[in-house]
Amino acid sequence: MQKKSIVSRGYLLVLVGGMLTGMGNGSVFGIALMSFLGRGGFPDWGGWYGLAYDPHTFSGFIDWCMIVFGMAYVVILSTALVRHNALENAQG
Amino acid sequence: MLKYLMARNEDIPPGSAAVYWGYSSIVWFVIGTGLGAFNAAKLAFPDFVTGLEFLSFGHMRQVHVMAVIFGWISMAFGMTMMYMTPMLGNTRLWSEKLGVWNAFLWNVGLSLGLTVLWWGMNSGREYSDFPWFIDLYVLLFMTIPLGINVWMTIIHRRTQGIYITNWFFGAGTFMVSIVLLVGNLPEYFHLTGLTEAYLTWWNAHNILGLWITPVGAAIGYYTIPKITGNPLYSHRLGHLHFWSIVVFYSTPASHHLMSAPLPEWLKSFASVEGVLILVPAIAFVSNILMTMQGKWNMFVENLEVKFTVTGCLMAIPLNMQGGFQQTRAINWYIHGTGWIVAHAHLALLGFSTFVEVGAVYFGLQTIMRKKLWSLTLGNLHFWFLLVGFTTYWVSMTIAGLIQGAGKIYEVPYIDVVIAEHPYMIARWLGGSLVFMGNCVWLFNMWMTARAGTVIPAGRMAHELAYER
Repeated sequence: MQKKSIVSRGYLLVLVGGMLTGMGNGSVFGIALMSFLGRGGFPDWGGWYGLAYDPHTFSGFIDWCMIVFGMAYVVILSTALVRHNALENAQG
Repeated sequence: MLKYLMARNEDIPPGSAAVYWGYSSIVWFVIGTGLGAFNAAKLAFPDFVTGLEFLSFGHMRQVHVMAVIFGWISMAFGMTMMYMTPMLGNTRLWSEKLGVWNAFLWNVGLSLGLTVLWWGMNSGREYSDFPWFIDLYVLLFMTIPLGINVWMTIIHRRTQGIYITNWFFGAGTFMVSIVLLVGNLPEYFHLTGLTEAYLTWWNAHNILGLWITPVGAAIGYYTIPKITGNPLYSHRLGHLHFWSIVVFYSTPASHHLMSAPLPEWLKSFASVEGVLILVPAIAFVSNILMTMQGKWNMFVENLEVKFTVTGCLMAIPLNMQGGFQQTRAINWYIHGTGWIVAHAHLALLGFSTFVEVGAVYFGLQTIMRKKLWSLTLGNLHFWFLLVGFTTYWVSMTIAGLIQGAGKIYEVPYIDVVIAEHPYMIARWLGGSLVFMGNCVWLFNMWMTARAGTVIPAGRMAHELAYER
């Protein structure tokens, strides 16, 4: 019988794998939404350095979509693995 | 290995060709990612190595791309075909000698092709950069002999049905030869203009869509059931994957040319077909994840499963991006930016590579009957690859989004270059990690061949405990 759960042994894998998986989907969602909403004034383009992570800017909003989707996928993957861990331990 | 070139087919031990293909692929992976890291350094630090024409970015880019596609990815495919096809047909490889010669000629042809590119002789067509005589060589001495061996092995199988992996292998080898023949027609007949543009992207798209991604998926259909001991969740879902790839994904190409003066109906058709990639993608991912039922402990314990399932997870954003990036609105935003470069690497260095690495680890241990020399180095390889790739991919995606926003906001080009600079450094760091990880892998596999513990008859590699 395993002493530690799947998630506790693979938390780094869940974190990196989940963020990567979610961020790809978040970039598609963010682009689609911002292309639909359209651009604002020039200061809103959000290119230089920290502005790219300011959610009030065009680029920054999409980057935040990626981060939020990434965190959501970490939660989804963790939840799934917690349940699989319970099932596999129940089977002995 | 070269001694088998002149040996009789019966005298060549089964699996020799697969070992030759496998080690060649790892060496090409080291070379290809080394070239990639070098190119990334030139983008991060523009004064890095200047004054030598053959080391300029314009020469080196094609060499990196072709080394990775035809060296690493395709030779790893060849390796998996050399051992999976006969195993799934309960038979021997049709011709071990052809397999060995094929690997030898593949290495010779690729070395020749890359040398020619390095000298600056290329077709000027992205992803089909080789000049016409190398294109002919690739077709006649590389892909067609591989297809013959795979097809003849399937025909001579001793099983009633054909497992889904072999469906993909048979179709993949056939389709890649057709793609290379038709896609390079502009070079043979000097076709120009829109015809050349369309065929160039038909070739580029289908090398990815009909060769790299479907064959990568086929490998996952073998590796996961074989190592976990679970039967494939659904052979029918596998068939849905196969036929939807063939039907939906053989026609798009103009979605790479959404701003070109091609007929509008053709672009709309390609766009819709492109979105339909979600059908085979969902079929594949759900099939693999469902096959893992009851064996998720192996996701963190077993190196090969860890690589394969991580690759499978990467197929989710890959196909979500791939499916929607050629719809007109999204394409308008990200076309011609680093976002596309990140997506291409998600396909080649992410999904396909992770699945292949798992299969090469598993295959070489199984064929050589040698346990992996060091699990620690194996895990180090995994983390170098995953962290390196993620750093590369995230930085390139964000840099691409900034470029796209710069395009929409009509920001002066030099300001976009300045905005991108930190991401170019991150890209170089990520690429360098991948390269270092592959050096570790080559050393580990070299030591496995020389000093790996012998696997007793009747046992499988992953059933034995690691020694270091």
